[in-house]
Amino acid sequence: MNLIRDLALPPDVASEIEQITATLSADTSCIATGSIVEGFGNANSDIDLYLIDPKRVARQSTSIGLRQSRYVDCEYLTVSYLETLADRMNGHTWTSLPDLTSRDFSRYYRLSIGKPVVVYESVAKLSESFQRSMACLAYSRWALLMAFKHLARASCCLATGLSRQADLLEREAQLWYATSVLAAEGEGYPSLKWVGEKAARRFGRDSPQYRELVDGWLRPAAGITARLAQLRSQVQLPTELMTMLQPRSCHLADRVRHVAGSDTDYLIRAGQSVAQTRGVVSVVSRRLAAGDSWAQATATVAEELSVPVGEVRVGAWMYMVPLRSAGFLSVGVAEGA
Amino acid sequence: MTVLVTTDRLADWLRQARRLNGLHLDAMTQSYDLDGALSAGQPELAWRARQRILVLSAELFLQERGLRFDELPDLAEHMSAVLEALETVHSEHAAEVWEMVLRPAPIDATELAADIQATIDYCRDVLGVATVGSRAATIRAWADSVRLLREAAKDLGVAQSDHWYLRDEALAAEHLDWYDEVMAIVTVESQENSRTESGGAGDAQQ
Repeated sequence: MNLIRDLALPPDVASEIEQITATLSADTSCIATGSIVEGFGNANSDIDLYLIDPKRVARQSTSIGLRQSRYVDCEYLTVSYLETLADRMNGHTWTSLPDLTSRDFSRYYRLSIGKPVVVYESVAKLSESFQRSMACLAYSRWALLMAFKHLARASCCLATGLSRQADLLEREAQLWYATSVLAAEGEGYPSLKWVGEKAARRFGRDSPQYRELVDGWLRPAAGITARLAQLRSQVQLPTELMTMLQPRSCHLADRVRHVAGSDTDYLIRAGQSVAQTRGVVSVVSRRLAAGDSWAQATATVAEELSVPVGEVRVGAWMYMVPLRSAGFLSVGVAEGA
Repeated sequence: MTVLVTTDRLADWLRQARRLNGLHLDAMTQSYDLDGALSAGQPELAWRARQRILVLSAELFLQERGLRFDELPDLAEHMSAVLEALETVHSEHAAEVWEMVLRPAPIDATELAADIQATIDYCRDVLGVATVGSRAATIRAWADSVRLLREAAKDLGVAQSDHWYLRDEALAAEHLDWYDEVMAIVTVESQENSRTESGGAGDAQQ
């Protein structure tokens, strides 16, 4: 067990952690982490703790406690979950990245910087499996993918007349791009809200690099079309990832009809349900209903909208998730695009 | 004023109440973020909290009018969905909120703080979200919604953990339940706010 006062935490935080660890069951490990441990935290930042149970099933998922000026946020994890998480993250490739979630990155990074307060053998053995350098590398790659996904949807929205939505998505894409760049520079704390502090710590608040990474999403100067073009030149996914994203395919499910409208189109599942569609979902659905394959439909729409075909494929695919979940679309086999 | 009585099936109500509770939790955590960021000179964190507060206030405005929807996993998509729904209910407010969401953040710290305060005033005075701008009020709203949610869930036989709240062991001797413990924090926060405000008013008079 560490002496909590040796962990270089603010006194009120150390005292709170001491209280909580005093009530832990005999075999539960406790790791302090979060923005305070990372060094960004302020007087109102929450105290983040991971409580790790050696059993296969955690007693509960989270708990919260309010204190004066802060709150305490505890997450309960199991050793078996940590083993799986470490294996997935340490063995990640560009093509396995889309299977990892925001929560996976958050937990892996936070564990890699965590300060052990009470650690039993089963958790101590795992500590070397969580490396900050790996967390930064994986998060940098994943954040680039997230930037592309937002860019793709922004392009689709702009091309179909949804300019405000496009503007919002483009800023979020900028934020993800800045996150990717900073993670590659070793600033991998996995939370979008701390991008400013990360850029300031890495480059200094008065530096041109800081301005470049922050202004794009905080105070964009150019119009949305110019910004999209600029971002497109920066967010370059590696070929192996694009090759994996492109051949995904879906088509209208059996007994689903498409009805075109002026602003809104409809998909009707005979005798079951109706879906309203707009924007890129409508135009791709029209092509699918006309008998095009996914590859043909998205290529035609990309040409009509003057949007790169990779962006139409990724953007439309994401917007069509609810249609696939509700049975309006069926996933097909990969086609040659 | 009329006396309004509404009735809902408990299961339907519970689903909606969960989302409302999520919004109150979000309002509370954003309030911590905003206060901390402004005190520590962290402008990007403060602006992000402002954006979140603005959109969750728009969603609370819609909730008050019976429009409810689930949270989308992508923040930008969720914000768009809320503002599109607002467009159907009150196009003038929707246009105002869109403009505020897409407005560039001021570089100057004083201007940034003033914009954030103006946004909070808008949420409170125009969108009618009374809790915005007061951490004590957001804590109280969250605690009330948790208490109600847990009571309703108990009635439906939904299993609940008793360990969801981390008690302050320093207060254990006072035998408060979790709700009383939270309300004690609210009281202290409110008193501190009053002291700050009266001190501020005194300064202004001087």
